[in-house]
Amino acid sequence: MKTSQKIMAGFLVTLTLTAALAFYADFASRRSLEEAIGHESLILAQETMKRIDLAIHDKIMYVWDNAEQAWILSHIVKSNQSFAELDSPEDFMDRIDREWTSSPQDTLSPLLLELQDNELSRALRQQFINSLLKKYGYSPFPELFVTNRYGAVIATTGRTNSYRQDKKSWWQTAREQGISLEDIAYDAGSDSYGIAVALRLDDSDGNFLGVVKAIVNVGPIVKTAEIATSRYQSARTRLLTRDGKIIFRSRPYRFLQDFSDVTLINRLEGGEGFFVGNEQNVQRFYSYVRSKGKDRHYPGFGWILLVSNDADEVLASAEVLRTRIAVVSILLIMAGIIFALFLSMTINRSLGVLSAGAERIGGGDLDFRMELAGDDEFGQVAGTFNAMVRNLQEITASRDELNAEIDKRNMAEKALRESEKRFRATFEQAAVGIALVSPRGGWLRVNRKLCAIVGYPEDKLRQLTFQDITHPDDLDTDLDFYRQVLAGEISTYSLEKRYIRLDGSPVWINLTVSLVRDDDGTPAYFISIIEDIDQRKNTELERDRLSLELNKKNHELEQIIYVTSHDLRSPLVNVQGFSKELSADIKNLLSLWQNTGIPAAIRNQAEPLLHQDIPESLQFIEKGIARMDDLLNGLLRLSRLGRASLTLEECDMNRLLADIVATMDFQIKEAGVQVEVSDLPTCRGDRDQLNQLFSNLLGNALKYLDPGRPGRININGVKEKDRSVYCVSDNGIGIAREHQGKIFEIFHRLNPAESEGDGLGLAIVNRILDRLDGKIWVASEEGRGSSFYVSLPGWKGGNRA
Amino acid sequence: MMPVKNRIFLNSFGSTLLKIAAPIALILVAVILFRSMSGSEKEPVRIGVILPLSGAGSFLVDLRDAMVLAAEEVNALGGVDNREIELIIEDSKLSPVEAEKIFLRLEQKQPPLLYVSALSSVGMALAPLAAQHQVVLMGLVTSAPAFAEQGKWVFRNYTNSQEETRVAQRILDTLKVRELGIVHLEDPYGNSVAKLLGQCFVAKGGKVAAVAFTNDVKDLTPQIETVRAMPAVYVVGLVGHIRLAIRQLRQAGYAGHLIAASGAANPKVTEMAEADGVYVAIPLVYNEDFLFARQFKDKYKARFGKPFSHQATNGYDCVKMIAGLLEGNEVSRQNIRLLLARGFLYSGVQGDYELKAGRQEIIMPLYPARIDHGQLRLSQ
Repeated sequence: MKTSQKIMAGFLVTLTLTAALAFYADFASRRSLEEAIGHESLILAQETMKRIDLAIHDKIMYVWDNAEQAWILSHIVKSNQSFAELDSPEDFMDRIDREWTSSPQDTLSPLLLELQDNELSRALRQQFINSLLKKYGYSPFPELFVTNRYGAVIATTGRTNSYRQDKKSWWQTAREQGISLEDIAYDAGSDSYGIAVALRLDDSDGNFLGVVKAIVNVGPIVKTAEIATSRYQSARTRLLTRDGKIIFRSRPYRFLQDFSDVTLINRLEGGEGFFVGNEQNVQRFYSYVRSKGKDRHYPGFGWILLVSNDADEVLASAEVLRTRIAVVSILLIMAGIIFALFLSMTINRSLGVLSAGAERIGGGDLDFRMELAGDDEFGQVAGTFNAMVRNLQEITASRDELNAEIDKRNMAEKALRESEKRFRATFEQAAVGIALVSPRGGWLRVNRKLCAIVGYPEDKLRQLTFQDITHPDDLDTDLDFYRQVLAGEISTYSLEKRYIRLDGSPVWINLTVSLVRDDDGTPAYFISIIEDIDQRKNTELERDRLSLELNKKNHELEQIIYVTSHDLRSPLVNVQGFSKELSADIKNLLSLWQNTGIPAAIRNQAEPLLHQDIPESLQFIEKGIARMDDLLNGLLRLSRLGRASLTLEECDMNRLLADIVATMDFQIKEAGVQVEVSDLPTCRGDRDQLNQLFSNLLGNALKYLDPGRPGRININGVKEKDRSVYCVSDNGIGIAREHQGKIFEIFHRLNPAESEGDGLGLAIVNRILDRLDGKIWVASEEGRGSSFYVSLPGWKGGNRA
Repeated sequence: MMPVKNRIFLNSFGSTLLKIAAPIALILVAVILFRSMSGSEKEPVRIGVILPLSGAGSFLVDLRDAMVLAAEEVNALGGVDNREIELIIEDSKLSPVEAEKIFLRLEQKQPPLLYVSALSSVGMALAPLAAQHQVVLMGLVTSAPAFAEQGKWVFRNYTNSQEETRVAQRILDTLKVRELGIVHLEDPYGNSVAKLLGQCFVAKGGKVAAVAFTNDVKDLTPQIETVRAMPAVYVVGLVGHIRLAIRQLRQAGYAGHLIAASGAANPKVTEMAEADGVYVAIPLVYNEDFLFARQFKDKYKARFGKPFSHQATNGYDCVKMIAGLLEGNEVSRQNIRLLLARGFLYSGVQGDYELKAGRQEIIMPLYPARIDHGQLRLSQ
């Protein structure tokens, strides 16, 4: 069953139960209402009956009170007196009675007419009929007559059925007991229905005078009481004799007819009560009460007053309320059903959204979001669901990340294992020594290479510290670094030091140390990489030794060159001097020659020598001397370069080049060359040496211009890391590839026949750069020009002589 | 266009709603129809009412109104065994011929359970038709003695000429006049009263001068000239006739005693200034102390905005009495006649009604009274 159906079913069950409860409440309230109405009806019936009893009693007492008036009694006394004078009152009465009763029903005997119209009768009519007619609107006494002590009627308001009444039981009872009451009956004399009341009339001495009899009309009394107490239009009143004959009824009735409704009469139990019954298919509320009379003068006849009211009218207001409640209930139920439908549909829709959403999310669509507006529980559930999905998404992502991480870690572990394996292999099979060293310096783990380097077995080495095997001369340096690493001042260090092998021999190693710390920063161990550089170190030492020796040799060579050059200059000067002297001697000899008569043959043979060969030889000697002098000067200059002191400083190359260009301005202009100098970086060097260097390069550029095109020389420079690189390029004749490797050699001349120079320019440049930690290289293409690159250390500050 | 999903939702919603709401609605409609039809499933109890509602008989509009009021009250309480009383009211225009036509038309088209007519002339005309069609004819405001002698289907529910005569004679006895002028309507009612009173008065040694007028009389001067010499004049006719007679007698300077039939108890007469001092035979309903009538008086005034009359109470009691008689009994023409023939007592607004078994008359008793400044005062 769907949730909406469950809700509807629940709601309908609730409605059914509520309806059942309402039905029961309605039933119970109706019963209570009926009970209350019954009690009220009973009270009204009691009141009605009381009024009836009281009214009848009042009428009796009215007769009694008014019949004993003196004027009435005096008439009776007179009649009694006249009867007393009769010989036989009995006979008289019999005679008159026969005459009275023998008259036709619709005619009145003369005596009756006389009686009806006598003074007493008129007075009685006025007193008991007319005055009360005006008072009540009806006559309570249809008939009233008076008898004397003999029982003869002496006055009447109507038509009594007989003249002589003394034989009547009521008359005798009244005479003997003072009052006679007869239950309601048809009174032929008055042609009416009423209670017969007979009262004994006495004189003031208590002597019996006569009887007054009145018929009390009950109908109007009941009607009056009914009107006075009735509350409903549907009220119906029945007054029954004790044996169930109708005395009065609201609807047309036949007097003293047996009450036909046995069903109802059977329910009249006890003195009074109420019940609900049906009459002509109409539900009515019945209440009944029995007459109790008033007092001894009217003790009542046990009549039953049965009052009924139409339940529809009695309960009209309640029915209206019930109808309204029913209508409202139906409307509420309808509204409730519609609301429940709406609610269930809303819930169902919400559940549908939740269900569909759950299915989609369950299917793995974690990007799906439930769109349920509102802040009700479903909205909250949807929101929670969405939040849950987001969390799930995050968890899934986290899971994926975790899985990835796990995979990664697995891979890492695998890699680690492999790495470990490789490490082990590397560690063990590394070409360098590797060791894990405790913060105190103990060897924790060493590889075979290390053992091989130091010549210790592993187990023995691990019993030692690095301090134990470090060469004493290197220990302080090592410990100094070691402390800096521990203090966190540096993270790693390298140094070349010596271990003392097991056999006592030193071994050079290159040590690289880094510190591994725990998560809390506590030093865990050192990783030491020990490279056996003993051979290299020894080579280097040998190299240094050779270099030193070379320097020494160079120095000696320079000294030799210098000395040689210097010492050669003296003989050369002598040769030059003697050569000049010889030349002068030759000139003298020629002049002599001219003056002496030297045979012509000899002359002819000697004269070419004197004029041509010897001067040419002397000329060659002078040129050779000059060449030699230049070479010696060059060698001296070159040797002086090696001995000249250097002042290393930051050199403003722009200024330096500007000075050089200014100095060579004549040559530049003479050559018609365009020289462009870009902004140049500074460098560290000796200003004079650098001036010499760039003067040589610029001179070379000017020297090797291509006469076929305008010369152009560019000088620029860039900063590369810690060095400054300058370039002097030209569009000259260029350098053939085969010469490019030799141009820096001493005395090498590119084109000795066509160019001047001693072949020392670039050798001097090379020598200067050697001393300034510089480098020079050339890029050249023959016929297009050359570019000389000079690399010099950049300026870092500080001077060193 | 509405999304399919929403359409399905709405269709589902509508379908469910229809499934649940439709039976409920059907049940509700059935209940409402049942309740509305339950009261009208039986044929109504139709009473043909043929009254003079125009012309000289227009004073009987009061009677019609009271009958309608009674029928409404009966119907409000469920009618006669759940059968509503339906009054088919027709205007006889005070014409016996017109009344006969109405009777026959109703018999042909919509035969009622019984007929109620008013005024002796009309009642007398309809009585043979009632006997012929074996339908009860109840005569209201019908005093002619001959009416109750028209057979077993005809019943009177009003005072009669004898009662009018009895009270008139009693008034005359009190006034101790020996000569009497009688001005009467030339119809069965007026003629009968005039005849009975004249006979009674003459029997007591008096002298009578009687003169008649027709129903459509406009001027009673000739009649007044005939009786103006008498020490007392008795007028019997319809309310309009009595009003005319009193006015013209006063205008003629008549100074003797004026006595009128019970019609003069109608407020249309008592409210006349010229009616002051006129003796009249009245039913007890006009007695201010008569509790029975007091309720009706207030109710009638509240409903119709006019004072009630004994003609009105006559009609009111008649409908209530017929309804009471029929309750629990077979509703048929034959049975209503049997119920009436069996006799009954009924306590109505006018007091106790008694129809003795086998008799045709329900006599409304009259009492001597005098008009005193618009009020009716019972005489001693």
